Amino acid sequence: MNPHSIAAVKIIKAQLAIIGPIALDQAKNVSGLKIIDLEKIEITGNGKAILTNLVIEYSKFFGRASIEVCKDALKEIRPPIPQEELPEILIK
Amino acid sequence: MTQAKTKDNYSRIIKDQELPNITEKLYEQNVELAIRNRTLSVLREMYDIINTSLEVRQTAQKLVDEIVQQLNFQKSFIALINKEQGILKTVAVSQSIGEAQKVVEKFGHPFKNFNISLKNTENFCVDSVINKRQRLTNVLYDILISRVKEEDAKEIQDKLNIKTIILYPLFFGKKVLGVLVLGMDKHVGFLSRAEREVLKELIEVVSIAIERSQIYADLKDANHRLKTMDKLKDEFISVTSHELRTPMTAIKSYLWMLLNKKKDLLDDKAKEYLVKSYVSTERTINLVNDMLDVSRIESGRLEINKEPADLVILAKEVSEQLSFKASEKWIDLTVEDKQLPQVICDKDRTRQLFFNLIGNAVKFTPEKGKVSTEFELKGNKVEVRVKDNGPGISKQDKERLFKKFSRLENSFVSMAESGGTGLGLFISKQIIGLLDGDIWVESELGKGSTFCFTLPVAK
Repeated sequence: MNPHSIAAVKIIKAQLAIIGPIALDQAKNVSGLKIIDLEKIEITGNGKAILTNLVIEYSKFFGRASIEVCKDALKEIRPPIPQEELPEILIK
Repeated sequence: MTQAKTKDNYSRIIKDQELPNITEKLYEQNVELAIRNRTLSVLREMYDIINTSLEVRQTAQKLVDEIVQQLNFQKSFIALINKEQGILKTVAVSQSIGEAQKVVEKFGHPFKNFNISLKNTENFCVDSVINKRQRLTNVLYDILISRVKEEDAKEIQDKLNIKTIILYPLFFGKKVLGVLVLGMDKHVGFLSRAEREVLKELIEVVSIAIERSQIYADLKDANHRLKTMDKLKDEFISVTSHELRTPMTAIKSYLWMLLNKKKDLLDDKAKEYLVKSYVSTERTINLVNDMLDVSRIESGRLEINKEPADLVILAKEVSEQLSFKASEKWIDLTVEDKQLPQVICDKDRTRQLFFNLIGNAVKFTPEKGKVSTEFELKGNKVEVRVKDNGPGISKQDKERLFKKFSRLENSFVSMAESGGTGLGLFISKQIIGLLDGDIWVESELGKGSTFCFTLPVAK
């Protein structure tokens, strides 16, 4: 999987642990993101933009805290995803 | 707009504004719960290790493997203090694979063979345990000082992709056990909240696990030493008793022959001295036998062979053996002739019991007295009563009766004259206990004594 897909998997799993199955429902609202299963996600299009939309989708209901959760989730990815591959919303 | 409609709109605006706040607050609480949940999940794995591992190395290895797996660390090892040798020594290291494995092999497994003097405080691991503090470094050489050269440490660090090393001293109470070393492929600032929480809780659990394993190791060692000492004690007692008994038995035999075969050659004084020597010899032999029995009882090795037996027959056999002694004092010695069901007992040990009780009764009954053995079936037990019309026993003496080397107030002279050891009743009580029976005494001063015991009926 490409880095954006790996990041998306990690973010969705982190959100699942907090808000349950709603996390999957919200992720499905993101255009260009296809959830095959919990370990595999396909991203079609601009990966950075899709990741941004995924994070915004969660923050619509759950605010700033959900953005921090997304950032925190990426810290556990090995090897770490290079910063240039990540959208601004996940770096700041 | 009417007042009611304004009010409705206002309520709806408030609710619309408050709802996201409430949702966000609930979300934040859920974040805390999720982190806690993950921490507890990791700790549960750790506790499973504690509960299923006992040896120090085994426990420590499982812990470092679990830590590396759960937290995706590059390397982890535990080194413990060895006070006798004054060193810090590795007991467990997480495995490396591929290139990482090759580089550690190249430099002689520096983590596995980590063995540093506690005087070497330049080494961060030693510093951590001596000064009881956490250490953090970005340089692997800081923990491998005196194990490898600086450039070699750099090569290992690059190949293992270690960016940060954290050292945690392992405490149990105030005692420092050793150090847990964790190597990560990122800087501490990039740990997620969940990872930081887990690390915080982890250290205490690791310390508990190590201490528990060490206690187990110490107990196992102490147990082994006790068993060895026990065996040596048994051998000593066995050899000593044999070495004592053999010459004493020879002496006793010769004394008996003198007293019985050559008595015509002896004057009264000589006979008196020989009788006293004979009794003393018999007493020493009995003491050795009794002490052997006590030793076996106390180490749980007194052998009992349970089988059905007729108590009346056993009592009569013993009474027959003691009849000579009884006749010397004109004591009327009787055993009740009664039809009884068989009991479960060890025949030899029950004879020993009768010998102690009937023998004591004969010893302490004055001339022309009476000693009787009677029986009664009580439910699923047979009760035996050995009665005498001797001086009786005071309340204080009764409390000491079944203890080792117990002597009644006026019994010392009798014991010395008759070869008693002070262990007979103690041994009788232990035997009865092993045969699932009870033993007790009913007595009053001036009114004689009745020693009673019960044994279970054979089914």
